Amino acid sequence: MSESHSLARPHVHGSIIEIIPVPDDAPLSRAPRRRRVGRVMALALILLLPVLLFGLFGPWMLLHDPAAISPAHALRPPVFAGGTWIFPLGTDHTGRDMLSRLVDGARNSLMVAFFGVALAGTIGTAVGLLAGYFRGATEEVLMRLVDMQLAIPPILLAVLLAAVIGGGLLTVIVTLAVTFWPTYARVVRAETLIQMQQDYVALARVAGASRWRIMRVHILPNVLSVLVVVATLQLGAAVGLEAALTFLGLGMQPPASAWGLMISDGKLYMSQAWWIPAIPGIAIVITVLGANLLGDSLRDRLDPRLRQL
Amino acid sequence: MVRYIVRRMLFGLLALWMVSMVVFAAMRISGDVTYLLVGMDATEQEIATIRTQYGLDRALPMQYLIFAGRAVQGDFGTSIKYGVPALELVLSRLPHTIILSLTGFTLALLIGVPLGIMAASRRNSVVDFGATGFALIGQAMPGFWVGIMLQLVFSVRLGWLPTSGSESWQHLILPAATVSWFSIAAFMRLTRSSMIEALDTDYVKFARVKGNPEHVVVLKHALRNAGIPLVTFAGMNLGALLGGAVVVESIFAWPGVGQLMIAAIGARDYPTVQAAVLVTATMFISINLAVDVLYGLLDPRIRNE
Repeated sequence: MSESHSLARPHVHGSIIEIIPVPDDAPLSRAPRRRRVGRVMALALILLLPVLLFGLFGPWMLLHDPAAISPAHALRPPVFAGGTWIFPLGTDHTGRDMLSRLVDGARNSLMVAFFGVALAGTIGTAVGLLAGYFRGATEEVLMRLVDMQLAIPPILLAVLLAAVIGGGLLTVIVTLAVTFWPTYARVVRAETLIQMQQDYVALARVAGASRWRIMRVHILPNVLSVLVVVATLQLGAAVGLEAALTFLGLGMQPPASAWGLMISDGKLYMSQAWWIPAIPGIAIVITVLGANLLGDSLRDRLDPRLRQL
Repeated sequence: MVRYIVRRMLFGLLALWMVSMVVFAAMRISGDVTYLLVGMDATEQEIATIRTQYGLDRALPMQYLIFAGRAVQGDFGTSIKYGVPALELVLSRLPHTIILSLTGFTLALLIGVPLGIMAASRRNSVVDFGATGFALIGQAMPGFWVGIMLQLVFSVRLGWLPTSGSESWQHLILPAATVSWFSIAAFMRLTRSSMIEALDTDYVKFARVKGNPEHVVVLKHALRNAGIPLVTFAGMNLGALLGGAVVVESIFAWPGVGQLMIAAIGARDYPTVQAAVLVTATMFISINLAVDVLYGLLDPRIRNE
């Protein structure tokens, strides 16, 4: 009977959540507003589509081997700056094809961001659910832990962690998870507190459902929409942080194709070849912008209370 | 109020304690530091001497207690790379980081807030769309890339400004612009949305009906009330700028704490890393504490949370 609390179930908006609503729009009537949200979402998907395609089908879309060094073809400009279609986005200082490396790098960036955010979401949701359900000492300890972590500058934490575990794909995923989990814990706890006051929770309890079952079957599905919004907004931040860590030499290591790595390589050659640092950065901007816009529009549609995130 | 402040301070100390454990553990887990201290051809005897000298032969919890006990007294040990006291080294770099962060912060306020006010008071105008679009795209740009692109345009192409270093005030312009980039966009968006809210209130409409000129309505009546979320955000943002400076300093070879820290991590100079991380965390936590206290003074409801 209880499996029916789907995503579509409307939230009852309580006042416990400590998020200040910031109206971003004039009191439009509902129809044009919804249309606008739809347009933003379409734009977001258009921006994200190529990145997703590269990420998923990259290995079948390569023009050249992204790791193939060929000094004879070094520093060729992109086609729109006087280059040829053989290397549409030019080549880097070792003659590797920029487009192939960009496509190949998309998989790394997306994979790291996706798993990092997913891991952070799992940990944060568990903590938030437990804190919100059990209250009392459990809540106090868990939420103080969250506060404490938020008192540390994230980049500091990331740099330290990356330094400890050494560079690599897994390191960045762990770093992202450790950096991002507190946000989920806070949001999920607030949402759990609201759900706990709903009749269906009381009824489930009366019906003899165990605590574990109530949390899993009754509360979790009702906090999902909030989770989706936070995760999407963090996806953009994760792509940015991954690139920054990699750029500092703490993330993905050469000869892997990663956008941050392409930028740090390109920095040294920027006087001869502006496209090496510029192009991967544009790819990052497109991805982050797409994820942010998607997150914004999902938030407006699913849960306008989360404006502040 | 006193209780509130004491609570926040205890909390800051607790956070600092956690940072100290994390950084200590981080530097020890990542490998045995003894081999950095001795030469390649060191004998067993020499290694043992060094280990005793640096206390590396003791159990880890004991090592932490010794480290923490000394750190409280301002003794972080001697930098392995530079051979000077680590804290002194970090503190000598601190002014550079403060100058960079404060300049970036001032730039962000001076550009972001007026842009936000203009966008809000002329909604759906060219100014509004331009500023909003800039903010959206600006927030999507990673800081380190903005820095490199600014170098590319203003140093490499135009040759107007130096690429890196810190010899003159011209050296400050590009790093400060990079540090402020994200914050300009954030300030602009926040100012715009709180101004739009304030402009829609009854007292603003009333001020308009009374015949006040529009600029008085906007700047005096609306801005004053839109200011409260701005103050909070500005405080939070100053802390974030400090963190962001870590990356920017490395790009521009700006000799601040962040650049020192990244270099020290690379060289596994653990006394310097520990000192740099703890100094940065102390500043970050102090700023947040000051913001919390200020906010508690401004808004009595917060104190009872």
